[in-house]
Amino acid sequence: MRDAFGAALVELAEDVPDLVVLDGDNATSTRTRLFADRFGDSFFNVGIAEQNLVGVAAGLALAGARPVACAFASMLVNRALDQITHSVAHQDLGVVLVGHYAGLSGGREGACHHSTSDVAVLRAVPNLAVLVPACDADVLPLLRLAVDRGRPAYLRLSRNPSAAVPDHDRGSLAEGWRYWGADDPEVLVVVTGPLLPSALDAVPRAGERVGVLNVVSVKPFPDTAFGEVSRSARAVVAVEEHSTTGGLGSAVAEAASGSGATHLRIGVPDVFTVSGDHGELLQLYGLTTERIASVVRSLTRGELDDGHQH
Amino acid sequence: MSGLEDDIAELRLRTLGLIADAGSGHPGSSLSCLHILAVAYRRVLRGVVEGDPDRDRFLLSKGHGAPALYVLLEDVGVLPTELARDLREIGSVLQGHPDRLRTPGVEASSGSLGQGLSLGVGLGLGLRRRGSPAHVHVLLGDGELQEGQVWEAAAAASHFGLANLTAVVDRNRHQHDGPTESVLALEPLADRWRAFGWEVDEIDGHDVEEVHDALLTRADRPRAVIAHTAKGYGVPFMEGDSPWHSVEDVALLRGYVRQLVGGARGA
Repeated sequence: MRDAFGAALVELAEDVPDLVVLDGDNATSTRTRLFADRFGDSFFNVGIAEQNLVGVAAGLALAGARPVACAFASMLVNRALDQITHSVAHQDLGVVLVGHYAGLSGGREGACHHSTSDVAVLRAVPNLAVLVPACDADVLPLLRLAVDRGRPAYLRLSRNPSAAVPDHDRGSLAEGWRYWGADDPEVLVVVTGPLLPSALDAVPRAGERVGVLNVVSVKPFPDTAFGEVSRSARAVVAVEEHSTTGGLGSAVAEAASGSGATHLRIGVPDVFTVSGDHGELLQLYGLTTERIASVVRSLTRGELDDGHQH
Repeated sequence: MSGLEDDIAELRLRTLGLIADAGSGHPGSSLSCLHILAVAYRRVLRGVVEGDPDRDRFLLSKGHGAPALYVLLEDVGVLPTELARDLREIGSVLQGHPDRLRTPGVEASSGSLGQGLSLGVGLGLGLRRRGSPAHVHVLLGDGELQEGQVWEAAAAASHFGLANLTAVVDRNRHQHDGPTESVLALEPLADRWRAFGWEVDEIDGHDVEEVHDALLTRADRPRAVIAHTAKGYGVPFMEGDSPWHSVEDVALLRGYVRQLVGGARGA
């Protein structure tokens, strides 16, 4: 996704003269280098100092610029949370914060470079949108939406390339959700980020009452769309490359509370993660097509007895 | 400048009045920086009253000095007088710490210490990028300099050669828990700023001529003005007394304000 992001910055700069990009000594990793090489006057490398990075971005917004501030998701959100909260969100400034290497995509770097709590933390910050592209093709349009919105936004990017997804049946990136599948699903899979292709592969679509809802905007959460596609569902399965605490799974549980449906969460357990190849880490923590398929199969077979119902 | 000197006693009383009505706040910290705010808003900042996009900016990074800021914003006519009341009450535009979206004239929200200089660096970069002649002033508390982010911002300001940025340090030598030098020493403070590439000026922060000259001096790099001040300046029972960082005795404060207001009316 980082290559798509670098290209997106360059393309967006042609249309948005006030666009400025900030990085904290990660320009090669985040691919902001592509932008810096073309638009050096609009690029600021502030060194390894995330708190100042976020504050300077807020100051640039106060001066009328449209800043995009980049850092590794883990350091950006954990280290600069107070600045995100008070310098950016409390002032409702049009700063787009881009968290790179989100989820487990930092791979072999290990826990310090993985980011599995960023969505949980940022969901509780007022004014701030939390946007998660599912594939490389989503990055430019979503970045454009975030910049045009002129309000605080967090864009959560995986490090690695992600395959395009097939055309959806309903919704749009601009609405913050997309949907594939039955009009009245019995089992609804709700997924955010690059696990979307895995979820789509896992769900046998033809003739089955199963649907896949891709939540692009985890915050604000698409309550109306979720309400409509989950109305018929006996079970809702949330899938995310993030902790099962506080992220999409929690947002779904909040949105569906009282619905009577069973909620299941597929995500990273409440542990500090370990070094490894990204794909192998997804296997290790059960974030795979096979696992999603197995869970959905068990639900569609009617294995939901009364004991599982809320 | 003699007129301004005389007016500061009235500005001080209005600042104390807001805090006394609220029953909480930071009187000592508001009074130590009152001269700096008064000189800035009355004599230095250009375009503020007109709301010019190229106006000079003043950021109160030590947000707990908010009452003094509110009084000056009202004084120059940016904050309507009918709104300059009910500090810290629900429904008031005057929040306990500055809130840009609620209070007319406030350039940046603050209160979580250490964040204002980064905002000033971003403003300086953004204004310079669009060719604006505006100058950015950031008022920091001395205790606030214990926040690491301040030094991240200080390094960035000199790295980017921000000649349109002045940091003013309200060096009243006291913080919440006591003297700065016993809580976490800041000295040699001027050397610290110089080591970060800033031009440094040291002044008497209650001498309006010195403050005026320091705020208008320009260099080829960012300037740090260390303004030596006294906490609670002008109020005998507060001056230099750390407890009056916050309201130590509401009854004493209210009585003092009543007495001064009465005295003013009697005169």
